[in-house]
Parts: sequence; C-alpha cells; structure tokens
Amino acid sequence: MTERSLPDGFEALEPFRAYWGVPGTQDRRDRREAASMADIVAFYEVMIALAPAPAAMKHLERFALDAMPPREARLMELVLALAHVSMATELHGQPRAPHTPYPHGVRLVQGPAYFG
Amino acid sequence: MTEMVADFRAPTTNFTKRAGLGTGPVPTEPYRSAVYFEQERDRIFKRAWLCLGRVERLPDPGDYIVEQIEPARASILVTRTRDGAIKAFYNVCSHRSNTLVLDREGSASRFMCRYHNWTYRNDGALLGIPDERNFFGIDKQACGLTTVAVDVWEGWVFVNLQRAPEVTLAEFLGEFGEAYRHIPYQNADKSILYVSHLNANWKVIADAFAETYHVPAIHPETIGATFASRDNPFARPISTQTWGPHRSVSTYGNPDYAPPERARVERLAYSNIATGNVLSAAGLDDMDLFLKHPAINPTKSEHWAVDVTWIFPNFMIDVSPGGFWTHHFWPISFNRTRWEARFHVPPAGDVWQRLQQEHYIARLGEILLEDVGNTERTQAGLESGAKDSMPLQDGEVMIRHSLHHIQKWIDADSVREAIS
Repeated sequence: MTERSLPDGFEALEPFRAYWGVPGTQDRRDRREAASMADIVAFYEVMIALAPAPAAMKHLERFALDAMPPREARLMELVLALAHVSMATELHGQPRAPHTPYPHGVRLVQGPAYFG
Repeated sequence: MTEMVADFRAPTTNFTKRAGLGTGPVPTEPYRSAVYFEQERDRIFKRAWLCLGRVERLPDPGDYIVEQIEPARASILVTRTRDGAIKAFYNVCSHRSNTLVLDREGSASRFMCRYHNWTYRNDGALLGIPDERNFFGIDKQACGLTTVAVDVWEGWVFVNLQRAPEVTLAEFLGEFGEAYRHIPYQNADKSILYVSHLNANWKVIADAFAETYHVPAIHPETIGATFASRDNPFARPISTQTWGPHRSVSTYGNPDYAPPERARVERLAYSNIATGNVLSAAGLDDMDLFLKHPAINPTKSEHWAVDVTWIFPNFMIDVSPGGFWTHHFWPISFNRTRWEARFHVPPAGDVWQRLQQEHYIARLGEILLEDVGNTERTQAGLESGAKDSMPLQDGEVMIRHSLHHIQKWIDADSVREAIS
C-alpha cells in the first residue's frame, strides 16, 4: 500500500502536490511564473475557497519548523506555494506582474531559514 | 540654512534648494555613454571606498567571502585571520595571475591556486611553491597576495582599490559616518538575497530606489497603497538629508494601509502577526530602536515608512520600522548592471511567521521585477537619443544629488578635492 503523502484530511490537495510541492522559495517562484492562470486559479481555489489553508495552518502550527514530519512538511510546502500563487490571483489578475519581462534575470539566490 | 519644508501637504517642498543644488534639467549622457562609464570606472570605482556588506558574513577566523567589483574588473577576497583581523586581497595568484578562490564564501585557513598548487595563508602570505628550486631565486616573501585597503565602519566592510587610498574611510564618510553611528541592525547575520541582471545603466536602477514619486504609478498593486494615500497622492518624501556625497530620504507611509478584502492570502499570512509595515518581515519590537535614532526619520514624522540612505557611489542601506535591507548596484558596462538586494529576515519562530516571510519574499520578487521592466524601458529610451536632458522635481532630489557628485568626482583630480 502506498503511504499517503499528506496528513489525514488534506487528500483533496494530493493532485496538486507534484507540481506545487517543491522544496525552496525560488523553486516556488519558478513554478508560479511558469504556470498558466487556469492552473494557478485551480490550486488557489482548492487551497483558499475551500478553506483548507487556514485549516492547514491550524494543523501545522503544532509542529516546529526544524522538526516537521514528512507529511506535514509536504503540506507546508503547499501552503508556502499559496503565498506565490496569491501574487497572480490577488495582485495582478494574471500569472505574472504586468509589463515585466519573462524570462528575466531576477533570482532569489539565498532563501530564508526552513523551506527556503 | 534654509528651513526645510518637511510637509508633504505644502504647495511645494524645498529639498533641492536646501541641498544647494540647481533646479535645471540634468543631462542624460551619463546614462548612455560608454565614454562616461570609463570615467566612472577610473575616477569613482577605482578611487572611492566601496561597501561590500556586513561583517557578520565573516564571524569566525578562517571565514572568507569573494566579491566581484565589475567596474574595476576585480575579484576581491575578504578574510578573517587567526587574530580576528579583517583582510582584503585581489583574488589573484602571484604566479601567473589565475583566479585563486573560485567559490563565493566559506571557511579556510589557506588557499591553493588550482593552476600550479601555489598555496597562501588567509593573511595573504605565500606558504608554498611546488618545485620551488627550479625557479630563479624567487623571493617568497615578496610573492604574497596583493593587499587591498579594507576598513569596517559600524559593521559594514569597505574596500578601496587605490594602492594607497588618498583618504581614510572615516574621511570618506565624513559627517554621514558620525550621524549614522550606533544604528541597530537587527538580524544582521541572517539574510535573503535577490540577484538581478538587467539591461540598464547602474544609475537608472539606483535612481528608481531614490524616489517614491514613481510608486503609485509603477507599483499600484504591490505597494502603491502603502507609500501613498489621499493625503499624499504623489508619494512625496517627508524629509531629506545630505552629507557631502552621501544622502538620505525619509519616505511616506500610509498609516491606514490594511490588506484589501480580496487579498485573502495576504490577510491569512499577516493575521497572527503584529507588523508595522507590510514591506518588513520583522516585528514591532524592533521599531522603537530605529524610532529613537536622530538620523533616522529626522523630523520624527508619524507618517514615516522607510529611510533610503544612499552611500556614494552605489550602495543603499534602507531602514524601516521593521528592519533593514541593502542594495548594491554594480555596473558591468554602461548599460548592464548586477543588482544585489539583501533583506535581513530572522529564522521564523513558527509556521505563521514563515508563511508571512514567504508572502513578503514573493511580493518582493514582484516589486523587483516591476523595477527591472521599468528600468530596461527607460534605458531603451535614453539610448534612442530622443532626449538630451531630463527635468527632475523636488522629490527626485537624491537623483540630482547623485549626478552632481558623480560629475564632481570625475572632474576632481584628487579624492580630497572630490569630497571637499
């Protein structure tokens, strides 16, 4: 039997894990910038409109960032990806900022502690 | 001295006049001329003290960093030696001038050139030459690494590429160096780093961070609502200061900013955190430390958002209620720039703070991209030759002050004359 990759109760996010569940902040920037608006909105709506993001935060806040079990760590990656996706849905209304170059030479070369 | 009109509601402000600058249009040639860039290279980047970053990047003996100074075509190795001293060298082997250290930072008490295995101690001394006997009476003591003048001011590491610097770092910083003492740099040892390569003159991108006049136009969604309001629709600065070639501007913050209803992730990210400013990733506790300092937000305006402090020629320290960040603008050519933006972000204490950081960093990336797109379009316009000059308004005084001092350094035959 395959081990479930996300904590119980978050099965609905399973289809999004392969694309959006990546380890670093720059990886998440890359994924969001390369995604279509349809894919962005699909992920955003499952995360926010169906309200699992606050639920996920409530679930995750019991764990320390430097000792998160694998399933919780995968869920945390998805929550962090939501921060990037929200740039498209909540600020720009399109996948990337208007009137900006893509591809471009702006890279996060050193991320924050934990999941950075 | 003229009294400062530090009131964004006044009919006009008087920062330019107060800085002793003219009010006419300024030339565009410095932004598009390869000849002018060569003058900047020789007269400024090879003569001025240049900041390379925080000393916290070298906490222990053996730690080292390597920084590229493209306008001087130099790779600089900065080390902390066994006795705790900070040293700087050209990152060049004394044998056939190969690059000595290839990585960007690390810890090592000695360095070996990969070309012929010449070995140096981190204080620059040459330790070993393979098959030394087959050289011709080589003087090992004379073959150490070429030293570069280095000094530390308030935890900032500066180098000077003159073989014998004409002025000390303290003289170079002058009154600014005194006014900006004892500022607390929270989380100085923890940072995130955005590196951008863009097709624009280094001054075009530096200028973009020297005024907030553009913010309501270029950044309407990302930060427009935080830097302007009905009271201050054009994001006028609240005060400016100049000290010799250095300068600072205190920018306006909208005290009423709150994430809009549709910004559901932003609201989620910030819901469990008291934060004074959406640009900052630190908490309210740090704010008092800055608020009390006389050089920061000098008029003590309640509308203060960020102080942009521009140390000549290419380095900015920005302090805001929640923390500080820096910009390095390194010219590669007259129309190509490497821009490093380093933001000091502590390790998150819990998942809520970590989510807020991710949102902050994601938004930063968007803001930087908006600036890159904007500066590249500006550069294209400058290079078209359509305009020989540009008008600057009072809120753009830092740009005028920068251009004035760049020209002054180019014209001056000595550094002492340049900073006089």
